[in-house]
Amino acid sequence: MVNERATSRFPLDSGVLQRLDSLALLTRRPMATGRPGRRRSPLAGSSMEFADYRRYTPGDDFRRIDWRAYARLERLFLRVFEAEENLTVTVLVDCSDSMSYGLPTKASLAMELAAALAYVALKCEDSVIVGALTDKLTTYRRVGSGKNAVWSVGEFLQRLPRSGTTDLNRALYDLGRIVNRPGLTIVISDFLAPGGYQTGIQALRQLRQEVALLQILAPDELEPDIQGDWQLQDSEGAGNVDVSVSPAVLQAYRARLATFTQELAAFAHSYAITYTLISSDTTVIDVVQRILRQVELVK
Amino acid sequence: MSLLVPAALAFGIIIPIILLLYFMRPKRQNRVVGSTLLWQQALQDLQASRPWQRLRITPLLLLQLLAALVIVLILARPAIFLPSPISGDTIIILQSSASMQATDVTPNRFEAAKSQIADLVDGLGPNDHLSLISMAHTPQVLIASSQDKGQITAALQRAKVTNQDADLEQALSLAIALATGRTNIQVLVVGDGHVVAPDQTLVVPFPVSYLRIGTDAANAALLALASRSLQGNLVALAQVANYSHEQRSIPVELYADGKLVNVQTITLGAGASGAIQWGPLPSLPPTTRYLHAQILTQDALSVDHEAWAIVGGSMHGRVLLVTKGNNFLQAALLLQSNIDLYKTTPDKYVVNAGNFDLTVFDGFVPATLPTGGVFFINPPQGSYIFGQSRPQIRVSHIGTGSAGSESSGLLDNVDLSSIHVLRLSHLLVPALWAQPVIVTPETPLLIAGENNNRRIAALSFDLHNSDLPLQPSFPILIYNLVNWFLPPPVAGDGQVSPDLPVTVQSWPGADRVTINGPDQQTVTVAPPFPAAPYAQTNSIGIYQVTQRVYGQERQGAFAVNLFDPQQSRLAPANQLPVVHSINFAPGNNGVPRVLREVWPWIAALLLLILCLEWWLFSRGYRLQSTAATTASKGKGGYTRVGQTRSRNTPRFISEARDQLEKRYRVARKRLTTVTRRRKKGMYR
Repeated sequence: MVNERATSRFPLDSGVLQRLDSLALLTRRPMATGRPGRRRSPLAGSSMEFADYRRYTPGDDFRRIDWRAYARLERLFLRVFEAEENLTVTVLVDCSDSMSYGLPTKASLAMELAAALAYVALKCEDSVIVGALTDKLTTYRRVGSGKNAVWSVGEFLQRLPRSGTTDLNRALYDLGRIVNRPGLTIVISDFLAPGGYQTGIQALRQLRQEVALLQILAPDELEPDIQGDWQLQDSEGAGNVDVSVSPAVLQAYRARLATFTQELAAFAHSYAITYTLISSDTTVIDVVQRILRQVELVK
Repeated sequence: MSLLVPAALAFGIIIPIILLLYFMRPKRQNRVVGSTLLWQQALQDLQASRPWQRLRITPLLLLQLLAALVIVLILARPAIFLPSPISGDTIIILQSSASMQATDVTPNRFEAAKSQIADLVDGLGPNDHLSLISMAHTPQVLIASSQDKGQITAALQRAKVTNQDADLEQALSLAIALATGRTNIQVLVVGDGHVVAPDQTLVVPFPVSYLRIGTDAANAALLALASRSLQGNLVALAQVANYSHEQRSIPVELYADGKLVNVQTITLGAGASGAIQWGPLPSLPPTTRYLHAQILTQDALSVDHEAWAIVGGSMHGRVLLVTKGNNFLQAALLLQSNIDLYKTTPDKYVVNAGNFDLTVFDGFVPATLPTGGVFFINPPQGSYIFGQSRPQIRVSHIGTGSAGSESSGLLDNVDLSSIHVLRLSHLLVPALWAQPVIVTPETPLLIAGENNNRRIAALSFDLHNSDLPLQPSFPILIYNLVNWFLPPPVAGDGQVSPDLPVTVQSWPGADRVTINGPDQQTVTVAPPFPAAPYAQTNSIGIYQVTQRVYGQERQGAFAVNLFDPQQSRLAPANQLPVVHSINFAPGNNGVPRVLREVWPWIAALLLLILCLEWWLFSRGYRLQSTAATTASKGKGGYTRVGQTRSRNTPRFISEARDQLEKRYRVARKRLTTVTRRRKKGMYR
């Protein structure tokens, strides 16, 4: 439970955190991380959940022999229990200048969403890595499991950089330096990177990460409310565009946005990656409890 | 160069407007967006779907722009200054006399003159005025002071050449009337200068230029054709002229009532004229009515190659002489060629027995007068239609009476002073309508007048009591009287100049008069009487005049002949009989300059540009086709059999090639399938 003092340093208030208490992060399949925890592991372990019987072979722990089965069958069987392991959830937040656009800004929702997902992960005793992406992996923090680690997450999120260009390929590739076990990686970004994102995400998959892509776009980017002659300046300095907005131009923009999001969704589907598009004017609790449930990232 | 429609250049404003639009950059407001990535891609998509592309300068484009520029230039109607013979206010007198039909210039002088005038009209400036006068015997204004080239050209096309002479004096008078109130008038006479010679050189208040048309071409002309009866046989006489610079033999044919009678050839020196006589011609029947002479020589003017003449009187009447015996009168009547004389005695006379046109009563007056004209000679004492004939009295001095206009010609060429013997005469008391023609202090000797649509004359004395029948004036008087009773259709010898209006003299009692011309068109000139002037005399030939007199059709005729030496002499006049007349030559006159449109030349340039553009387009198309063919041949490393097949290849070889090609494609397809399956590990 987070007290009132802590909310000043944590992006989410206590009411939201209380509603997040009942949630847990989902992965598409169990992952063998080798660290004990509360999640099911594909390997046999020593949890309380009975999994199966198997014949005794010399060298097995004889304490797990089912003597009652031996009494009935005069054969030695070992009782096998499911293993429960810990999961490393990596939450990567795009901190480039483009995330500062929108009303409310995409960065604010990204930070709240990162905080919420970290809180849910920590509540489930998963390990959490929080990182900031610009044109590289700018900074990250590995926090331990347990709710108390949320303070460290909150402090890290408060200190996230708010400037820089976007290079998702390199930034995600940099993640290989700090992640060496299977886990869940959640990338929160607008994915409006001139260099693309495919290589970086493929690198994540090679790190045996189950990936979730949360694309946040501002309402003004989803449905531009603009007319007349404008010189559009890229917030990351990628160049100016002179545009005379007409219905034809708006139609072309919508078509291009649809193509862009569909390409991202298709790419995610081809790599068994969870993907969803979120408007920045959506509340974080709505995102977590409704949108992320729909894509089965939380339950 | 000037532009007649400079306002059309306003279309050129579109060019700087287009350039300005390209130069102008719209003022844009700055707006920061998260990323311009999608906007850039959207604009690229939009650019790809736009129907236009970036401008590429190609020769075709340059030619098309040049063509468009030329079209704008044509719309502006450019014009250049050219020296023009006419400017300002000009009156053109187009000679349309008979000599203008000469074909020494192609197609003839009149059309050549019209063509020259049409050229002048083309060069007419926008502020110039032009009037057109057709100069024949009677000048006619074709168009007055017009600036409209279309109207002027239409008026020029309406002008027709005539067979008349040309009266320059009247034409200039008409030009003076047209020029009234205007200044800077100039007159241009276009023709060959064969005009009616005025009494003196004409003086006009404006300069007169003379544009000479025609050459000194040779011509032979018939200047006269006449006939007379010599001892009952017809004799024809024609005058032929040779208007050339060399001696010529001119054959002339003579026709009588359309049948060829004879051909004679006359040899005439340069500029000489001579006569041809045919006859006496006993072979011709006495009923011959018309003679027609025709020159067989071909030369520049053909209208003077034909001549027509009427044999005898132009209109024959039936005359009945009722007398106990009067050889003088009978001889005088027999001399008249236009009557058929019948004679009877008073005791055998029956009223209206023969429908005579004139009845002469000599010393006898019947109780009932016949229809038609009546000529009383020495009427017995009594009251008659013409008045009263009282007892004979002695008469003294003979004089001319106060005859009215109707009978004014009765004493033409009659010398009354030669009458010396006249003993007794009846005292005539004329009726109110009768006019005395020959009078004495005691009584009128000859009265004449028209009463109740017939003419009546009375001579008060017996011809045997006078020496009048012995005088030369007697047959003339009888001739005048007969012509007064039975007037010929046309006064004189029945010859009429072309295009002159003819007033037909109708006989008393005529109720309808028609004229049938050489073109076989019949025109009724009367009623109403007097007959309307007949103006359709342009054609050379015989005009039949038919009068219906008391129910009887009376045939008469008159002939239209050119017979004009001035029109037949084709050498153009060197100068007009006008003071300060200058000869005009197109192109080198010191007259003001006028604008001449040059758009046809620019249009030709446009056509050339379009041809060049088409050639470039075709050349590029051929190059593209050749490149496409070469590419298709090189594709796949082999040449398609069907494309390289020679037309001379035998059919079975072609079929074998097709079979091999088909099998090759099937084998290649199978090999590809096997290779793909092997890669997939479908085969162990």
